[in-house]
Amino acid sequence: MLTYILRRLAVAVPLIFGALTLVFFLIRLAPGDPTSFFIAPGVSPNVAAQLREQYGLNDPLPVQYFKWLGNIVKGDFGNSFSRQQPVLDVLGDAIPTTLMLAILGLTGQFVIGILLGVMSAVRQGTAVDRGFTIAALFIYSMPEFWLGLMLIIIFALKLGVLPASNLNDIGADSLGTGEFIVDRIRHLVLPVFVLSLGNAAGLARFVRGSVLEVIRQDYIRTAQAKGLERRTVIFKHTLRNALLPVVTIVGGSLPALIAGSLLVEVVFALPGMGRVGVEAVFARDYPVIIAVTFLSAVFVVLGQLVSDVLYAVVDPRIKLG
Amino acid sequence: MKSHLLIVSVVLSSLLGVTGCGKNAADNRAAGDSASAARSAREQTVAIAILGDADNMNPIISQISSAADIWGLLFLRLTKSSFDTASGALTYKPSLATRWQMSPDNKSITYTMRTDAKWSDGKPITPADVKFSYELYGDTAIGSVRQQHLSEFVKDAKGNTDFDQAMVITDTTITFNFDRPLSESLALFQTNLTPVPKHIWETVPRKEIRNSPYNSTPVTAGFYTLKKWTRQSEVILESNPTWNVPAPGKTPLITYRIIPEYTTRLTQLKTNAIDLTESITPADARPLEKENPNLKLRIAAGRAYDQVAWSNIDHELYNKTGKVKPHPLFGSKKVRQALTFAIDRQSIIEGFLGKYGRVAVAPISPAFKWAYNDALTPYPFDPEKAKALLKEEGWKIGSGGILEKNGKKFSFSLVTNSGNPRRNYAATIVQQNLKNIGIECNVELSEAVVFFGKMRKREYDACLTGYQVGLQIDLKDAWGSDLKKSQFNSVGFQNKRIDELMAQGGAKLNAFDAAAEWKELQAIIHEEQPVTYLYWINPIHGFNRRITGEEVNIFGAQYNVEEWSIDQTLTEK
Repeated sequence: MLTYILRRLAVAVPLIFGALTLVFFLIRLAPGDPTSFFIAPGVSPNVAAQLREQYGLNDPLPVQYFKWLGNIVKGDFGNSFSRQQPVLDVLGDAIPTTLMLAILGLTGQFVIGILLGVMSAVRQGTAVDRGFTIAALFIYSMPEFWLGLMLIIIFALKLGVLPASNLNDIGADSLGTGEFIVDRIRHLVLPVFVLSLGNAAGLARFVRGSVLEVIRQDYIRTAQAKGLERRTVIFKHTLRNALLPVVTIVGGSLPALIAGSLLVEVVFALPGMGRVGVEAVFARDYPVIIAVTFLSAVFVVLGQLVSDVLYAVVDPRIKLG
Repeated sequence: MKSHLLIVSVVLSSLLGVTGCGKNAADNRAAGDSASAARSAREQTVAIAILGDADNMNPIISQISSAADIWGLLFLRLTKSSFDTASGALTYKPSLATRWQMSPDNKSITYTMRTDAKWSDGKPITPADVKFSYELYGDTAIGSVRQQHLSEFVKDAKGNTDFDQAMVITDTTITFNFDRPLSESLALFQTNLTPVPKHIWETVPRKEIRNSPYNSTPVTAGFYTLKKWTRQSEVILESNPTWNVPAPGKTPLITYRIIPEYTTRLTQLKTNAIDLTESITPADARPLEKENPNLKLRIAAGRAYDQVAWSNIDHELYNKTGKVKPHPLFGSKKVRQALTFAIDRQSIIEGFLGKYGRVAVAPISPAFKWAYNDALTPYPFDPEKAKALLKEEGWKIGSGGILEKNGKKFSFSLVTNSGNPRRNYAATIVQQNLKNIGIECNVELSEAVVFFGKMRKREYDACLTGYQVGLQIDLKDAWGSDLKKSQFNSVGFQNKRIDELMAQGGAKLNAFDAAAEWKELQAIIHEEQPVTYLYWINPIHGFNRRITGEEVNIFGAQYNVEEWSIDQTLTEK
């Protein structure tokens, strides 16, 4: 197993590196450049040229590439053009929020998804099942952006029970730890719910199918025949087996969740990586774009790896290596 | 079990990002007290919603206007500019300088500075700081967006700013020397850049200034100090108790909250979580005060407008060969006039801006009363007149009901930037209006950077764009005939008389004396219609009623934040 993981990681290095190289050239070949924001009435036309010089954009592309390569190997991602901060600081500020959202979103997604999926499966064909199916389809196709705004209008504006944005209230720094956590949770309810719901709906359908598959197996009939309680049959015998394929989704969900958190970060004004990435694209902030791509690539590769390893862990029939 | 609980609580609190936050407060306060402390923090805080984060807190290199609103409270200038609505002119009040004097030949201005103002680290603010700051503004290795302010300074033989000749200091005064006589208002405008502390920035190599940590933890000199800056989230300012020019900021705390989504900003304003949300859309503004008795609207004088820019010259030919030839569609004055007659500007205004917009005729804002030519009446909406003018120019209805001349169809693309609902709305109406007189206009949306690139490189036939005019009338960039120098004359309009008027207007030693020149310039542009001016936009700002003392003017909604106070009887408990 360990050698398998190490081998996968070794393969990942050139993969990520290739992605970065591709992005390096793509963004430089795309129209517009980082200094175009400095061209405005009343601003000297020389400013853009001076900044191109400072950012090293006047060098030929291959020279820029090898300079960049030299720095990357040393772990230096450079300085952000638009924020006057080292890129690593920019990401360091944003990663905790994104991770917090991703982990809470992932947890929410699995709790809601598995619960609804199982409920739907054990009541197959009833009004509850059909209701869930329609609701799941509706939620799955709903844009997160729109759902977020609707929830803000209902819960913040009309009912006034939850805050509409940011991670804490103004003045939260002077709260005690317990109250600070309560305040933080109040701010996270809506974004985490939005983040979980869409994926949970898809997951619920998946779990439903999987549970229905298992429920037809002989060993389940045996369990029922020997007079076990319905609850034990469902949670101990059925669910354990039905969730095997679901586990593999965990890894695959990670990159999707990070992509999904972008819209949630914008709507609820949360300071995460998605916003950093998008703003960098609009500002043509090359170093930040590259760094965000790097992190996304790492998440995708790790997510896949976690999926495969988990699969082997939960299903003894699969041998890695 | 206990250890499980411990693990769960540790995981939970680290997930929620509680590490460190609030702990100090918890140590020395009972829980009930801290809740009331948070409530009182809100009572003492003016909360302002902003769309994007500040880039840095360094006036030398900062470029984003919302950042300037913030560091404008952290750093003061020699004078404080204000706007006299009666005359429509900029005026200046003493700030770090107590008084100033123009030389008799108008080639220099001398400021006498206060001796009792101090940086936040206790060092005095001196004329040497001002001179050093201007050296940074002018340093090409730094590339400040404000370097244009040095354009009138005395230069050396090579044409570079001669800093020692241009700025002469004593212990209490600084004299700026110019290479030509300037009006007092222009001299004040050019010499009013924000100083930064010399003793801090002289320790940083010039090339490293953009990457210095002082950009986010500055040594300041203003009504407020920077208390905390959480990137992408909030900036908290705290009133500077020792500030004496003239006094500390009135409200103890100001929090800028970064909320990118408009609907969220508006909701936060309506729910009292935010005290000021700028640039409310006209559609939201109409019912806002009626439905929300806690809010009030403040309207600022407009200095932003939208226009349809017609290529006056054949851009393709000019870009390839540098030769100037009239544009095949828009090269004729009569055609451009016809296009303006054909566009129903009033209905765009009624449909989108309502009472917060007015038809524009020329590039000088009606707010600049002394220079605005109010004798010019906008071309009325008159499609029949438009058709007649086009007919005179030889355009006849051809196949498919589209105008034709010498086998060429009157068909073009109108480019505008995506993500601007107002411009998209206007573009749709323009398209419909032109269709009604037999012109085929295809609206093309472009991402902002790509769009402005196209304009700059003159790679379009017609575009719907907009400008915000500066506080000092300066039209050379936009209307100078030298197309290489006038980078914002993207339509390629050339007119000798306009060049003369701009030169004469700019040379007046009393700015008001240039009124005749500016009025004639507007009349020529009105006649020639190089662009169709659509409307001036009056920005609408939403305030919570608990804010008092706010002055909203052409500078924006945050002109005098340091003087705002909070009416506690209106604070939500």
